[in-house]
Amino acid sequence: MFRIDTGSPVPVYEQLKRQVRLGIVTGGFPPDYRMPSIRDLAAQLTVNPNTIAKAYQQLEAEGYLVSRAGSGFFVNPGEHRVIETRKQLFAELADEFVARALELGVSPERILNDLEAALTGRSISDTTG
Amino acid sequence: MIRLDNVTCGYGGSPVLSRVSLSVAEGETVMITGPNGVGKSSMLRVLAGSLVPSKGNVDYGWPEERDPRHLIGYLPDCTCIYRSLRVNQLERLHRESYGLPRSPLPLLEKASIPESARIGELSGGHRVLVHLSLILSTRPRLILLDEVLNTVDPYLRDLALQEIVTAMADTKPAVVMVNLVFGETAALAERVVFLDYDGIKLDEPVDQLRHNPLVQAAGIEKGIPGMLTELIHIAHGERRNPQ
Repeated sequence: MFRIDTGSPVPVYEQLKRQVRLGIVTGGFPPDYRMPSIRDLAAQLTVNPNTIAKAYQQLEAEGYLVSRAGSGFFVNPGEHRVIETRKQLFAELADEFVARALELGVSPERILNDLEAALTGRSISDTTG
Repeated sequence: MIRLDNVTCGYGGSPVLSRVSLSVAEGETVMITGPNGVGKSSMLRVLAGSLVPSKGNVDYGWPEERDPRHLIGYLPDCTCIYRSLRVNQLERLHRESYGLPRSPLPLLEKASIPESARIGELSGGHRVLVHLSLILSTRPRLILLDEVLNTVDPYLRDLALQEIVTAMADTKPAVVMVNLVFGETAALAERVVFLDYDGIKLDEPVDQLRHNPLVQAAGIEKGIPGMLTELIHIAHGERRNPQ
């Protein structure tokens, strides 16, 4: 269900949070879905249980999950979070796209031009940039 | 809170550790790493009570009426358990000396280690699993793991790590582990202590490691395993070319 990469510069709790958020917006974790228990998920991923607890608690504070006494964490049935998360995920995607494109030495003008071209379905010109 | 306070220790010659202090909170998992020969295993031995420091104190913060060693599960770098005993004999001896009820050892079952096998006839990796199973069965408040899981094959190592993580979740022990291979164990630790030839060089929560001045100065842009590997290279470099 989750994949943790200890070689990634992204902290483990953050990797988990991202995957939970993604699961929620893509419908993999529907409203009221019961998340795996901290104990089970920690053992399955061989991650410190406190790290899983930290990720769940932050997701709860951010409104993605709700904890119900004695029975664990559930996907918050409130819809507003899903919309906000889509926006946030898109912002992350855009950031990453721009950063990678700049790394490749593509000029900002070319990035804008090609994105517009891709959006309008025009064939991408390779004479500019 | 478990505390080493200004501990100096060694084996007769010059001290291996000199005025080292460390504290570990209940339920916290700390990874000790650093180059060979800096005293990582000695630090575990001091915590385990099997090496008495020549100076300084060890304080577990537990009720004093019990021998603290009953609350410590120590997996040393040599799994020197009675080789002539069979697995079930050793299990019984261990259970009786700790006053534990009979209970299954899931790890041995999952690893298909026969009860009737003699310890001395088991492979090194299987011996580690037997030792680890016995340790976890006492539900210790402090678990000390020296770098031994690397002799266990990846399938069994995963089982062993799962057992350790389950123990962490169930009984919230403090865990101190010594590691030189970081891939699978990096996500177990919440805090990293980097021991160098002249003492503790770095002590950071895992998630803050990248912001540590040493890591920043070295310009390391990697995950935890990469950062720690790089720091070990730097420590060796500094030792060979002191400034």
